[in-house]
Amino acid sequence: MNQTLLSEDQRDALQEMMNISMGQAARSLAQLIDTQITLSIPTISEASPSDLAEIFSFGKVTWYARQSFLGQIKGEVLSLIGKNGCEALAELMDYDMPLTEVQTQELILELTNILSGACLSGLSSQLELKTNLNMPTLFNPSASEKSVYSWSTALLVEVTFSIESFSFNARVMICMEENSILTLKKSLDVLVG
Amino acid sequence: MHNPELLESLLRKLPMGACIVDAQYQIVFWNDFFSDRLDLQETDVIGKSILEIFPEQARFLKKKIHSVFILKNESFSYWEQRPHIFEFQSSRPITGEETLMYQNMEVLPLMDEQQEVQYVCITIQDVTAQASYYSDLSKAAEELDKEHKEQARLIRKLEEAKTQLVQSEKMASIGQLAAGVAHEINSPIGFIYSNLQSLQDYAEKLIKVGTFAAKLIDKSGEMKFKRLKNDFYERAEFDYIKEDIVDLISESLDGAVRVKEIVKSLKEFSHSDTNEWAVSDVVEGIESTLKIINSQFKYKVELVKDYQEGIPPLYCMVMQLNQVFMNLILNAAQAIEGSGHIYIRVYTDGDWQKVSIRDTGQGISPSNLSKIFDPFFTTKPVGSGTGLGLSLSYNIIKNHGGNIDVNSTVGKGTEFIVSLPHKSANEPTESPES
Repeated sequence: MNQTLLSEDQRDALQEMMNISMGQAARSLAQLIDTQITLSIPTISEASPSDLAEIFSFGKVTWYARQSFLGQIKGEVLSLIGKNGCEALAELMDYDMPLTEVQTQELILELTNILSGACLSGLSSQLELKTNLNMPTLFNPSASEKSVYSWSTALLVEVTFSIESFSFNARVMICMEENSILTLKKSLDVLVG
Repeated sequence: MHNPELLESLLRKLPMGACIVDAQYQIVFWNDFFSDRLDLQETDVIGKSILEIFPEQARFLKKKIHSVFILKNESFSYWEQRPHIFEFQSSRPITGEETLMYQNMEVLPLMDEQQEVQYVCITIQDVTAQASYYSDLSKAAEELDKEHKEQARLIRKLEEAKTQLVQSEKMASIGQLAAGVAHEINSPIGFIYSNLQSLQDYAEKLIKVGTFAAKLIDKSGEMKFKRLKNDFYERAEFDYIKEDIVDLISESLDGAVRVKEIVKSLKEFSHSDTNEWAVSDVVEGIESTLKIINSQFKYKVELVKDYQEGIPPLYCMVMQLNQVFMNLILNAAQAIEGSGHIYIRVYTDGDWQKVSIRDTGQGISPSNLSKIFDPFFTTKPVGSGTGLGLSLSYNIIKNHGGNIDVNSTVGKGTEFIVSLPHKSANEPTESPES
């Protein structure tokens, strides 16, 4: 049996925790930009390199950014920021319009940091695990190849943010490699009892 | 190690900027990294608002600090998007080229036991070396790219030149062939023409003689001779011959004249000094070109010429221009399916002398329109077009300092307008006394 797979109980527990913490994150975000934000129920899945390659095929409609995290669990948070609606969001966030290229980059990085920070701190505070986020960077997936991935399975915790008042969409994925998944499972077992 | 004094002195000496502010943006801590580089001692800034001390960055800092207080997460700023947040002098004042420090910023939340953010710490990292290395790299890449483009442009130019060379060599050999043929035909057609003229004269006289003899016999009253004469004239069809011979000879003379003209045009066209600049009449050039190519389309195309009176001659390479007109007119004729018209108009427009060649052919599709001047672009079947005619024409007109413009509507036809400057830049200035 695959060591890295979550049991059904573990999966349910993780999903419930993510749900609670994402609710808190959504309230903070709404306070920051003064706009109602809708969050999807977090989904948890295992991903193979080819799943990731598929995620990276939306370059026309989304920007990609990534942010690695270290601590008791390690991995990367991937953000897919929908190009649609970004300008309207930028205005809410007090950017000067129209956006220059550099300002757009800054906006994507800022959004990535806010969204992935909210997700990751939600996960780690519930599980009482320590994590530290590094600086976010822009990422052009077409330039990288899936053959360079040195892992076979990653755990994907995925949350979709959307803003109703105008069309905006972002997906945040917390990806963890195998060792961190084992740590995560131990913590889950302690909590579930 | 939980000695607060030691930790504070470490924080002061850290090789990175650390500035702690509270929720009202007031500075509560400011380490040596900041005071050394800004000439502002900690005592000068403690209790003051960071937004007032850095008014230019106030909006940005406020946004960042505020978001950390609310979200309780770190926030970042990267040198690539925002290189100089604080006006720190470069870390390399003696040897470096940069005058301002490139900075990465991280704003950290400092939380109490209840997980509420009490303060935020602004940390600054000096990444001048990294940034300068990176920008050197991008500069090198940019230069490489520029060189690459320049190379591609040269290769294209070389290709164009080669193409032009091939075409002009072809034209030269056609020219030589034409000159040879013209020379060979010139003398026989010369004597055919003059012989025909004599023949015309002789025939008239012979007819007169025959007619006179017949009248004489009729008048003599000798029925026997008269009958013999009538019989002989009738058998020889004298009445018919005397009518027809005039037509035959004058038709032959016409033909000979035309052959002479074609030979003359061929000689003009194939003139060996095709690349020489001279003052020439563009209309004459068009006419001599038409004589050569007219036969290729005279049954399906009606030519309509409109030459403005008193067009001044141009300083140009008339043989090369003729080649342009030949290409344009032949293309026009080939664009016409069935029958149609070609309108040739020569006129002046300001400083320009213009030749418009318009056809009622099938037109050029917009997607092809941008490519027609490219070498080897052709829509004709394989083997029947080289794809060089228009590119060569374009180059010739450019060499004259002129332009070729094209308007085309699919199904209606195409108009090429050749614009040539009245005063060529190459024209020798006339001496005052002449």
